[in-house]
Amino acid sequence: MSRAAITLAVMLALLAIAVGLTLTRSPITVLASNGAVNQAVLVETASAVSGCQGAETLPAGTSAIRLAIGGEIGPATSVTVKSGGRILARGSRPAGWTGGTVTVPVPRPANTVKGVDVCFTLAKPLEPITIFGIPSSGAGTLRTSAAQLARGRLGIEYLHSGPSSWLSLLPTIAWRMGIGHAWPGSWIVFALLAAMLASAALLSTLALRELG
Amino acid sequence: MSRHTSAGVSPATSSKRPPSGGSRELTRRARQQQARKRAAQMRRPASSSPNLLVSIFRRLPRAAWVCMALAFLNAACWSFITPPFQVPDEPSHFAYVQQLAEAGALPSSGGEQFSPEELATLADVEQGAITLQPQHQSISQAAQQRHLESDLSSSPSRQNGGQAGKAASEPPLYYALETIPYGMASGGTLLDRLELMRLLSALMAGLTALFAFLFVREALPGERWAWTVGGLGVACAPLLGFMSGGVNSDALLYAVSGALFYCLARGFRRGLDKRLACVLGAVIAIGFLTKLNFIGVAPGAFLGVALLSRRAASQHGRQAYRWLALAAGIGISPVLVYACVNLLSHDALLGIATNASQAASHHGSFFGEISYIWQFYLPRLPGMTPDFPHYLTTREIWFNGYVGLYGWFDTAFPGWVYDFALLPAALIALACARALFLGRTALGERAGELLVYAAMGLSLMLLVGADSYLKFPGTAAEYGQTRYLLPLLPLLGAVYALAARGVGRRWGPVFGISLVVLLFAHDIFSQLQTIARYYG
Repeated sequence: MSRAAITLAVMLALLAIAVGLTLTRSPITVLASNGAVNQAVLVETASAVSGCQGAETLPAGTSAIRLAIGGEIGPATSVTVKSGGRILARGSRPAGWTGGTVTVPVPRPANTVKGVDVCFTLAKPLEPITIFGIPSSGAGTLRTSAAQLARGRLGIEYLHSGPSSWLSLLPTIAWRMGIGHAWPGSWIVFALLAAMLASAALLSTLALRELG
Repeated sequence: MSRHTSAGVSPATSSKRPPSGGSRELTRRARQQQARKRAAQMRRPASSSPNLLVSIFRRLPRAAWVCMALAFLNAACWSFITPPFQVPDEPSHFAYVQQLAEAGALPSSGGEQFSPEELATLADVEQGAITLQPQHQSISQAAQQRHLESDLSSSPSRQNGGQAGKAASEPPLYYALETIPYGMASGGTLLDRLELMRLLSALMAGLTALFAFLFVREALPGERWAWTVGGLGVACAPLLGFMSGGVNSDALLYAVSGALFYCLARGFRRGLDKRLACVLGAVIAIGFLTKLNFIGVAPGAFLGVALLSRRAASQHGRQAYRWLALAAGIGISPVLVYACVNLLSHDALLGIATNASQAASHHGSFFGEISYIWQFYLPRLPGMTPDFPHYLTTREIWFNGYVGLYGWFDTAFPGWVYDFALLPAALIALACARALFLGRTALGERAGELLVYAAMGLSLMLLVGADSYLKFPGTAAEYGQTRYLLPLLPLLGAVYALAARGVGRRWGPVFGISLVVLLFAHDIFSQLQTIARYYG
């Protein structure tokens, strides 16, 4: 067996292992939400901004916190969860995110803690960012360093790795992939798998032929 | 052209006994036969263009075909994975094709009141809710599917009143080609038409990889095994697959740019003649008819034709300058014809594109613009006003954008992936730098050719940066999207090939295979990430 063939075999085996390992992991799902759906723009600013919101519940096992903050080129973002001055969780996300929400990974807390403050800091953005939530004047409304367009609660979701692995979710994913497309049906997944295997075969054959 | 020409007549699999001399003799004869056939093909006069095309395609090495097939398969996979209208600006590009196919006329407005059929589909697949909202996945309920099918089968109007959104000011070639699959599936639903149109774009990805392979072969002829590394590297590029798996004129722009790089490299290696001048002119013309961004590549291309003519003049005299005029004339002809038609019909000189150019009126100082464009790509230099404070555009926009940012820029890898990607990128850069250092003598001899490729790349980057500056500071980096630089993919193919060569003949193929499988893995995980985002 030539050196090239051994390299190809090793690399493909590593790829298969990496895909297999990925499939044994679980997708991130919503563990809990504060129910503040995106109904209103609370803040719109092009400056660095920080804020805190009380009356939140940090569920045990939370691995990431998703804030309803949108931007085209999101600034560096950090999140701190505090209870009575004690920091329970802290995480950050570098600049460059895009979308209507920003997800910040945090270390998993062992226990559920009620009545926590969720605080965030956004560096000065390149483009204006928007903070979404629901209008509210009750307790636990968002307090920010920037002028607010409306009083309300920021939308916050607590995420974790779900109980099911990607592998066990394959039938569900196959069903979903067959929806909303031309020629609907789960056959798409098998066609994709066949195309992927054909690609691997083509690549391997050519690599061995030309580089072997 | 293949190295293993006798593979198909291996004695081990042949039922007939070789007449004499055993397997070596049989192999030798087969090789001679193949060589004679190839020589005959080379001698055959290419009197008409179909014959010329057939002859060109017959002479393509098998590796080029495989790269093309791989890129097509890759983009076809992306076309099924990405939900409808989740490729940037796909609703506008689809509307353009629909306007051409249904009304037989070019779009007249950049409005987004698309046809009732398209608007109903956009609503039913929840395009607005999914875009830029990673927490929203593609529709997944049987009831949603039934509602979608019901709306699609109710035959809503396909007339969009000439509105094609952002795509309206683009030239028509790509959209005209897309009317073919649109027409083929006109009896089906909008989603049927969209998928067939996506598959045509996927074919264009195949052409891009094919031309990238051929470019590497012409530009770096020394080590044929390295051509495969370059070609496969481009074929596996996930961003190429993603963009060409959707309806977007970028797909054709990548293919045309690939063809242009190939033709120029061929000219620099084999010399300019009348036929190549015509082909170069035609490719430039096709580029102008494809997308306005081609304007960014064109100056370098014209410079290339001029340098080739100058070089050819030493052998062919003044005739070479006639070829230059021929190439330039053919190349610029679509723009001139379009302007003349508009003048005669008392329209604006550049039609609807005039609106775009008027909107792009200059603001700010010249040095401010230069400073902005520099920082758009590279770290700020001392003395420059910070336009991207605390933000490294090279890394955040361009590198991370190539590593993985799909959908409407809302589908990304976890942060550690971008950090990890720095390692193979650094290895590739180092190996490539070593190859360039070792071949520095040849670099000096090919300075003109390198200048042309650099001019093509730089002028495209200038165009994208200058366009973004027009929207600055309202938006910081309007066109800060890696897809706009994919017309330079053949150069990336050359970088991959050089990197493999830089490791040396002994370990180069091993490095090349590792690199190619790594790039394939990049593609597979990009597809999985996209599946997780929309269907997970």
